[in-house]
Amino acid sequence: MNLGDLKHKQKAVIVNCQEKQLPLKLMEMGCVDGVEIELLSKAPLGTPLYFKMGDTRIALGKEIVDEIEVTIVDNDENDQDA
Amino acid sequence: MTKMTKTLKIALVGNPNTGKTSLFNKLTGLHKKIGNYPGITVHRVSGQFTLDDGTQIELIDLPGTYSLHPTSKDEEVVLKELLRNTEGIDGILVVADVTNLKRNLILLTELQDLGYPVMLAVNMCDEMQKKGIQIDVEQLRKHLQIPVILVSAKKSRGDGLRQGKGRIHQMKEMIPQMFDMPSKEYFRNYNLTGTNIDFITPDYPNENLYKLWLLYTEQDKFNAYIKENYPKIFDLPFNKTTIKRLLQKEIVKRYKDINHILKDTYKVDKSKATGLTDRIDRILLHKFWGLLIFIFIMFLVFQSIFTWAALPMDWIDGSFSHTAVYFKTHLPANQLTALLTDGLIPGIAGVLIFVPQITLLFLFIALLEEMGYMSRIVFLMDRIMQPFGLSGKSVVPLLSGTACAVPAIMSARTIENAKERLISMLVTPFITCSARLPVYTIIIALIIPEKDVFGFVNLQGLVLLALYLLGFVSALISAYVLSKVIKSKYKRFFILEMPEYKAPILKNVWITVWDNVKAFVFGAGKIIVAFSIILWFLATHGGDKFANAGHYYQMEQTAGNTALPDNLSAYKLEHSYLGQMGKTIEPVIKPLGYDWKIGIALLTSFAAREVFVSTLSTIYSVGNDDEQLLRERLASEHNLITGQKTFTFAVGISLLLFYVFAMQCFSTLATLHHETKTWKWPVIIFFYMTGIAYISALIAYQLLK
Repeated sequence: MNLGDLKHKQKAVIVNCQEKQLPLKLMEMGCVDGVEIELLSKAPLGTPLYFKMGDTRIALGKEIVDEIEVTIVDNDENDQDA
Repeated sequence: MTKMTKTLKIALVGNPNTGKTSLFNKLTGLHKKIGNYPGITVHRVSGQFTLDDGTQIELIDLPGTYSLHPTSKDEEVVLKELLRNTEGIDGILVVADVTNLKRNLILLTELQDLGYPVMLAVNMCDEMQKKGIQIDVEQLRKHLQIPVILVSAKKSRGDGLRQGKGRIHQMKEMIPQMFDMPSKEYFRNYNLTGTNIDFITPDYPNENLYKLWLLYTEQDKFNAYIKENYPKIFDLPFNKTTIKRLLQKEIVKRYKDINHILKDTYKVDKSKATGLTDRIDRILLHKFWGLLIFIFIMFLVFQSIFTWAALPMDWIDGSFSHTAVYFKTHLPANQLTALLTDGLIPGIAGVLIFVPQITLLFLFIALLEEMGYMSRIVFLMDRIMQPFGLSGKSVVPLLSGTACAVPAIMSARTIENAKERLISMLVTPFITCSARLPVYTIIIALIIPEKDVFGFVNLQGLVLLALYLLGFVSALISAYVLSKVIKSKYKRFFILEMPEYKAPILKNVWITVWDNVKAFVFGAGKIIVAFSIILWFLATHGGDKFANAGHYYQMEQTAGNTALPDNLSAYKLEHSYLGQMGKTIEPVIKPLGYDWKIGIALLTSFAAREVFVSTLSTIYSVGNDDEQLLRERLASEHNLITGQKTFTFAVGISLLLFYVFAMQCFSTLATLHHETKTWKWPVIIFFYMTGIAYISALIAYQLLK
């Protein structure tokens, strides 16, 4: 699934980052495989979207969000994951 | 007796939102120089301090960047400065945010790879306890092989105060240590397969490997430099997709290295972390409450520069005219006194009159920026502004423009993207500023009947509203056009870090306000004073008929000239250089329905648009700017040849449209020049706006007359 499919407060892990032609800046800001990402909120018009990605709070445009692949984390794992 | 002192040039580098500027302020105090990098609107800030052993440190504050692969003009500056090092930078002080150390270290490892001596200052250590963070500084120092120190640019309570001050001093003294540490490399071990760079390294055996790699991957930014120094780089095949993959790999490898380094030096106990930012964001980014609060804050900003600033502005205006009167009565009446009292003093007043607005506007901006709210404004407004090529932050200059374009254009400084910043500055003058208001009021009162439409809406008010909307809409349309015309090599992705909310450091706020007021007064201010003196000269000097106005006036009076103005000062203005200019441009403005009298008023409007009213008062010999009297006088004014009314409905509409669009304010042009460091944009915007004004006034008059 894509980051864009994430629901409010849902946590996921970024996967297959290098397969995509993501902007380099995004990876520099911490968007690499295995990093946990959580949807915090959406702007009034649906984009940008606001995430907590690792230690970084980041707002991303819809066009990027749909390019990032993630898998959902099971709920019980959430608390231990760093 | 002179002592030999060493000077070290140290660059201050770090991610955005790491408190880099606060730390810079702490280190250098107010002793700093603000300039511009040549050709671009990126500010170059540097400052100095002295170490205990007398070593002079020149600290250069480079723009915030996430890495050495630029995605904006600001970040490009960092890459260019560090790769070419034309300044002779000796070492780098890296500022990192304690809560986001992992990401911050990406940039640090890149700088180490470039071979620079580096020191790490982990900032905001006052946040550590709150976030449950523990750092083993000694281990970190060993792993990174550089000096490391925990600091806080913020004065905190209790022992923090004592410790904080000491820490800053300790940090200064640690700087020379960075030159004693063996340099560490990461990139060399990455063995990125497909890196063509291996083919040319034998040609440049003494060159830093990572520097060659950066030149190769970012070669479009270094054409001339590569051609001159490393021509072999251009022999290598260059495939964008392959290179991007390699760069992605490089980042992943760097993260791996950093994870390894931080594994036993950096610990976070998440149970101790307080989610203050989460809680605030839940309100401030709420679809309804968030927008409402945003509107309220913008209203407050608007209110402050529109209403609160009026009091000190009146005071400045009043005290300067009192000073002028004082000098006029106490100094001998000659040309020099006139220059002082009618040229220089009003000129300086014309600069200082903007200070209250600039102070208040930047007070708000600095506070909002310090607290982390500016990024939230971008988040809330981006989708609305982006189709017009503007940033979410462009809301601030556009809104402030309703008071005055001068502080508004300056407020565009906070926009990171160079293209969006430029467009915001260029379209702000379209917004109806408060100086247009007196012009609108008098013309509307003249040509629009005072009646209600639909039973309750005042027609005059409706026209005024339409003029405001017209200004706003043309700003947006122009922004759209400009965004298509101005090229940027950087593709626009919306990636924005949202910093944690923080209590503002008041000292930083004051420094920001002070820097901006200073920049305006001594930058744009000089041009404004020069312009006002020129304008004064043109209005108070003239040919023979001006010099001997009394004589000629009496002569024409006895000759029975019916076109003669009612008094001498109007006659003098008519025959001044400015009056001559008004007459010269008459053929040009005649198709718009204006005579030379309006022509003079258009020219004097350059000092400030509201001068239109007082100029007409002089021309029509109405004393003391009495608007009621002036309106009656204008209404009864007839063209002597055709016998028609001068201020018909058609002329009025034509004038209104002209004032909506025309660029008639040299303070705005001076500010634009100061902010863009070129006359190109002020000149373009002058002809663009005045061109639109001319055409729309022409069409309106020709259709309505």
